[in-house]
Amino acid sequence: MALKRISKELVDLGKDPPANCSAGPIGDDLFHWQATIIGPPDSPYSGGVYFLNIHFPTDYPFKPPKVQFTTKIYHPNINSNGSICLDILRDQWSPALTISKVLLSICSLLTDPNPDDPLVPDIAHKYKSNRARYEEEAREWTRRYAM
Amino acid sequence: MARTTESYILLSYVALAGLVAYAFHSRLTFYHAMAYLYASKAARLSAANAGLATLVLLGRILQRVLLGSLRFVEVERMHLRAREAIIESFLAMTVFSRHEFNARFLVMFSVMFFIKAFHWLCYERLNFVEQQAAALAQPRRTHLRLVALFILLHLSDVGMLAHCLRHARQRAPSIMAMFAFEYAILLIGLLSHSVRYAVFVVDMVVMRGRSWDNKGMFLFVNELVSTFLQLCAYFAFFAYVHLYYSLPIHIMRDMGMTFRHFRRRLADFIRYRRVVRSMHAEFADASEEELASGDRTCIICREEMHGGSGAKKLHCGHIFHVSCLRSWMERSMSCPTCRREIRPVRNESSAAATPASPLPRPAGRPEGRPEVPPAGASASTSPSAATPTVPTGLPAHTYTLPPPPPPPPEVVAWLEQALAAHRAGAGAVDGSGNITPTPALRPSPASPRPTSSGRRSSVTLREARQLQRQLDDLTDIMRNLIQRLESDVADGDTPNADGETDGS
Repeated sequence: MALKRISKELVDLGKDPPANCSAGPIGDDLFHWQATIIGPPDSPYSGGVYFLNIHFPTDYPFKPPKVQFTTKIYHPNINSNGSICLDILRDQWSPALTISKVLLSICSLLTDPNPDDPLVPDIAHKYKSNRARYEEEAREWTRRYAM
Repeated sequence: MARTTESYILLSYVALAGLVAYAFHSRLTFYHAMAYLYASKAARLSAANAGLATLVLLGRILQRVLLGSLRFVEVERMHLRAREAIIESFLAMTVFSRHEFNARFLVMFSVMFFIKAFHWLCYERLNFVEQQAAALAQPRRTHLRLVALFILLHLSDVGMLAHCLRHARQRAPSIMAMFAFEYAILLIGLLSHSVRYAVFVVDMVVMRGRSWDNKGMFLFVNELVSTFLQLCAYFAFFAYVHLYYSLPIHIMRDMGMTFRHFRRRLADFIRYRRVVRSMHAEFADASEEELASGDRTCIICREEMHGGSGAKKLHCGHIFHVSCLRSWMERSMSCPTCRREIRPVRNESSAAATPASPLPRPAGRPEGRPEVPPAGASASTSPSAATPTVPTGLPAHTYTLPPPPPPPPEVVAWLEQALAAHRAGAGAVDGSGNITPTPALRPSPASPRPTSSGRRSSVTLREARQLQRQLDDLTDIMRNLIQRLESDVADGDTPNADGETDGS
């Protein structure tokens, strides 16, 4: 079941790739993918290329895939391990979601961080109190780690 | 990685050997040399280190034999888990007294950690085998190794558990209890994984890819039981530590989480059972036309659906494969597409009564609402006495409130009195057909009060309606009173303090 669905998603991704994202399996293990997200142009991450690791559970699509940034990123909802605080990757998961939708959600999370439910409180605080500093810092990290 | 481990093991042995050689070289007799070795801190340390190196070596050998080379993910996850486990164990140790941390403890701790690491590797390998099964059949060797690993782990768990329990029983408050607890938790997890593996093997070998409907159910129950057992172990440990030491704050969080998890799973389980049982009666089969009008793909598995009994339509109108829906409902009771809650049928009797016709039902059929209880049955005592005054020609009044709890005796007494007054008022032909409730029991001002205009010889329809409204008011008042009584029960307040507070 899981394998069938994952290969279908892979085919769909090839047919209709989402904007600014790409994804595909690493080697011949279909349960382990790598994805890239290009920093959205209207965000301080623009110009950066971010790599993500995706692990599908055996009971996918009934459980959410595990998605993790491997590139360092300065973001209130993404910590230094690359873990992403996104509801659809946790309790709001639904089997109707696909990897391409998840990646698009992550893209929009980059454009619009959610400082009210932060994973890194320091960054969230900076985002709220001093937006310019936050953007500067994020751009700096983008230059340093994602270009 | 492997190179550093090897050199570490080698260095440890060399250090120990060097120290022993030095001792025998510098001391005259065997006795002196041994005394030196025993007293010297450096010697003890290097002996302990060599012991650890032996353990690592043993681990390496076992891993080569039973698991082969590890995949990157397995190593990564193991490191992550190891970090967590060490922190947790240290937290747990804070409860125990200091003199219990001796060499023996160190040995026990290392061995436990060693065994734990193999549990994690075993689970990872099981995951991997399950994942890959659909793609390519694993060689027989992998399965043999896995089975051997399972057996070995079972043996070591049981053995260590027995050992720890024996010691813990000999001297009542002892850190051995912690080890016993850890092994118990490990054993429970191992048992549950063995069952999972067995189910997997049966699925692969016996069923050979045929769909096995109860498989999900089986795994679900397995998880439920293992969570329950874990919860029991937690409670036992909690009680033990609380009895002999202080309050074990560090495991409260774990305990609470396990408990919550268990409760939620149990609730899910019960709900799931109910839904699955009534699934065929509850949800309409999707007809060919419905499928043709929309997208044919089942959004869960992305495969095509066909009419007949293969696809079901939820109340929100979304259509899925029966098996996909069932698998999803094992986890969550919401529609995958719109997240609306999937509700089980309220009154199962009526669901069972509706014949499960094989024909597809018309879409959007209003679900059998729970039947409104007859007005007379809603309250235990008085309304039955009041019903005769209501003309039968009226549209049957429906109380939408749930049957109230049995009212307290004071309320019953008051209600009977009020109704007697009501009947006396309504029955009097020329009297004011108006109840005059005692001030304490006046209905809330918002509710319509009957006017005393009716000077007629019989009860008219309008009056009857008014009466009915009054009855409504009475019911409302009674409900409010009961609620207040319940909340005021500590003070022993009687409800007739005032009737105005129920402003709602």
